[in-house]
Amino acid sequence: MIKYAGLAFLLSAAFAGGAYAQPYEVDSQKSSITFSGVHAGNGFSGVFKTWQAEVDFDPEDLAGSTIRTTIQTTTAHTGNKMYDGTLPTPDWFDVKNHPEAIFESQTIAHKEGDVYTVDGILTIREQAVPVSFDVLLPEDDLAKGQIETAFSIELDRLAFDIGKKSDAAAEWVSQNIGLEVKLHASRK
Amino acid sequence: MAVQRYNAVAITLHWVMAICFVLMLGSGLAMINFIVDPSLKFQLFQWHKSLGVLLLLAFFLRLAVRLVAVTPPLPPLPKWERFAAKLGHIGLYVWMIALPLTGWAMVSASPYGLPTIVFGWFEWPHVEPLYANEGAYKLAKLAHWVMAYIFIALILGHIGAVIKHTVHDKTPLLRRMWFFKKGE
Repeated sequence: MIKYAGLAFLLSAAFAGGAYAQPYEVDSQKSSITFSGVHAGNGFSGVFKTWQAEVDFDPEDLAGSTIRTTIQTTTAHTGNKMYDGTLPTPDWFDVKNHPEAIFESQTIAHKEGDVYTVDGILTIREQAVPVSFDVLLPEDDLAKGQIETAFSIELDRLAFDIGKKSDAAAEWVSQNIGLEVKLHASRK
Repeated sequence: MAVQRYNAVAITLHWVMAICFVLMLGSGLAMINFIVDPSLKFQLFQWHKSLGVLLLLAFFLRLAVRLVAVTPPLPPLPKWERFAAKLGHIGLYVWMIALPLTGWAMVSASPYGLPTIVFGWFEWPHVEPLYANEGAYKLAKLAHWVMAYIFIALILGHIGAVIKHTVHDKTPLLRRMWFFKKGE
């Protein structure tokens, strides 16, 4: 019975067609999500050690293309004891209550040339904030089934209630936090 | 014959801690009054916290030495001066422990929730029940601030008494707190 249920699932997945544009497998060794900002006049940066991304991308089927990323906020790491001790606390990532940050694309549109604009919702600490960014995806790479790109997103940490109690005036920690994404993936 | 001076451990602790307290009061006053540059201010805060933890630990060593070792008797003094000396010394001891404790409470209850990494060496825990407690933070901050000023007054009184006895009464009190040879 279970065997048939599995088969039914596979068949339905296959026939769902457009819902699965072109799934890509993310190379976690070559990909990274880093964050950076300014604290007390000094720049800092860190990396999310663990995250997963489901990338479905087909330039011929942008409506069926999606990106979904789950970031484990517990794995934010700067290498600075002070920062690493503070980031998990309730006023910052509050990892006990919100162990994950999620990005989900809503639309992916062709901008110009090899550039695509991704609009989606980033949810951190249950605060869902619309974000938009441009990604360069050269046609040659896509033809080879490869994605090798990098892009950055500027975030307003207060929109996510990050450090809202400690530093709402951004006296110590900059209000804008940069997110740098390096994505290497190959078609499944 | 009674001992003429404090023991070497007590003398060392007295002077090392004296220098540290001057640094603590200086950095504390500078942080809240003069320093504007956020980077320097932040560094100074962390440094102040680090030294504060060491002073908290040093206090217990000092108290133990004071309670266990023989203390040289006070020089002949009028009764009220003896009383004032005793009271002043007790006050200094109370303040030496109360200042680090209120500082610790303040850091623990602070909305910043910053950990205390003692000179990048080890992490000193927060007083967990106080975590991000705004009321406790305000109270501890006020206590730390008021006590620091009273501590300055106590220290000035302490130094003033030494000068008074040395100059006016010709009693070389400093010898009790320095490494003079026995024959001198």
